[in-house]
Amino acid sequence: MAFLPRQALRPSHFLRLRQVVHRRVFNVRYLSGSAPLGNSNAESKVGKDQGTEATSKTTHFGFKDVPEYEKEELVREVFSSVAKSYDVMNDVMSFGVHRLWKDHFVAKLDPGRRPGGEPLSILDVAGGTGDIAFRMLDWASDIHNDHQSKVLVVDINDDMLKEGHKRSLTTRYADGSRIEFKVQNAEFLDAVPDNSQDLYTVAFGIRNFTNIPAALRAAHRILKPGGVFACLEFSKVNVGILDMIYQQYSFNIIPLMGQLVAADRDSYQYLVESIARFPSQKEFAGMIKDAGFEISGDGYEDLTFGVAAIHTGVKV
Amino acid sequence: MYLTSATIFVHNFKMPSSVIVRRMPAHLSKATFCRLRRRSYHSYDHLPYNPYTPSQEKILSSALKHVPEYGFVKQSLVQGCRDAGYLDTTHAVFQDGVFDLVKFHLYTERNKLAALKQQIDEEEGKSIGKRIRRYCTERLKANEPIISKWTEAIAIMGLPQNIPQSLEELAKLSDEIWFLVDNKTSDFDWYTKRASLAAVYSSTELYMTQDNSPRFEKTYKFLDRRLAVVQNAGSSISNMASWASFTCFASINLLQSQFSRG
Repeated sequence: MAFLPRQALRPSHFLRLRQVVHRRVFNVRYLSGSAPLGNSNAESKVGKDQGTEATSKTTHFGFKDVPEYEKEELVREVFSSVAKSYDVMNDVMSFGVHRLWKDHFVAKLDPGRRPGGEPLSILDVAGGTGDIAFRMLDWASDIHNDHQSKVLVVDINDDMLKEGHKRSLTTRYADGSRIEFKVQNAEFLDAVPDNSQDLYTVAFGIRNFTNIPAALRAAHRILKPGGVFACLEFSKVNVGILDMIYQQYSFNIIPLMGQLVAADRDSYQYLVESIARFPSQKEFAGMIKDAGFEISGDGYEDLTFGVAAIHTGVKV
Repeated sequence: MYLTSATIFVHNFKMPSSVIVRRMPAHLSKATFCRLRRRSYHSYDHLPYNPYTPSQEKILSSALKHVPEYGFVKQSLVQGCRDAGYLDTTHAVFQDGVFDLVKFHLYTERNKLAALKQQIDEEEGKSIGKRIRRYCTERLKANEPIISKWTEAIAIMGLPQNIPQSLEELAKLSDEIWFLVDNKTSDFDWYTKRASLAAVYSSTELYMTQDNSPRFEKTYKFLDRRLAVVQNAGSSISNMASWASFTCFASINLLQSQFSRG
């Protein structure tokens, strides 16, 4: 899956993802060691059978249950297959409203060095293609005249980061002095020192994490005291009738549109299922508090009747 | 989660001795604490609800000190975060942004009224009208330091997404004043009294924003006129009702006498 041709995905790639998912999900024996980061080529795994026992805990991958150590790899493969058409995928799923959500997210955080203050150090997690990172840098530069704040974009998927780096070359941040891309696991954030970041953002990524509480604890570790954790994510619609319509749309129409637009039904099916499995706004706010953050009011803001929600917390 | 946070609140909350203590009857369960949230009236069965954590209070109270200079804008909030020892980005955690600052001002000033009860009862005696006037003037005095920026706050409170909470704050203030005046009404007057006081107070506050007289004398005269209208309204409505009923019955009797004359 790392060797995608430059033109649109072909049915052969679609079939290969299906085979890999099928093998993993139905617990066929497979290679025990994980692939080196950045090489998510499924072919290297096929045919190397070794006796490995799946005795560890299971987690959910959409509506299927998979062993925990597999979820990371499966998620990586989903996003490798959609990296090139990520924007198209988002537009299909939300009718372009995701751009408004992201704009509102950045406006709410209002990043930027204030008069008399220090330049900001921002960490954008699971932000491979750089949507949020570019918006934050633009906001800081244009609204606050801040040309020093930096963003570190981390993602588990090298393909998404490569896509983001490619996009950054067409912006005013092409020299790389204000934006950096690194492959990291959000549950550990090895390369990020303690108490070093002013702002931690994660947009439409946290539902894919294998262990969300561990990611929240890692966020707590790397933030400075007073630093803000902000999460933009799909959530539960809070109006009953709209919720019914939304569920019908999600499960019937989105995978079909994915098949037509990007020839990848399985990835879209996973994405829709992962939204359904993500905890509700209040539950997630409780998880944020458990990780040691302090929240204000309810701790979240609903967007578009709860289709998406922004959760914020501060490290005290 | 609500139960835990409510229980922690109960253990950590310390009431100043000057505040009227409302005790909870022993037979009520802890589940009662969970229903603390959206109430705009006093209740003897519930302890008062403080929606702010200590760190939020610290940030917002330092932010209010910067309002006379910057106004009700993000910059005051950022300066407040800095003074309280937090980062510039910490302002993002307030869900309503600057409106949180406005609400905090309304909340703290409203809570200071209860401490004045003893003093006002001694000075004004039993007269309800005089005590209401006194509470209103004390509350208006609390706006004096930031009155130059208060129009900004009114504009923020008037935004459609903020209107429900602004009206709730006004209702709470009106209820607080009437409660402190010890009003024991238990019929429909409970609602009309609070509604009329809310109207009087909000119009006076609006007048105050454009008042340039020394020590805001014109504002307090305006307040007196509004309160007089309310007090007269009660008697004038009942006078009108008596006049209307007399006229009605007299007309009917006259007509009956015309018909019976043949």
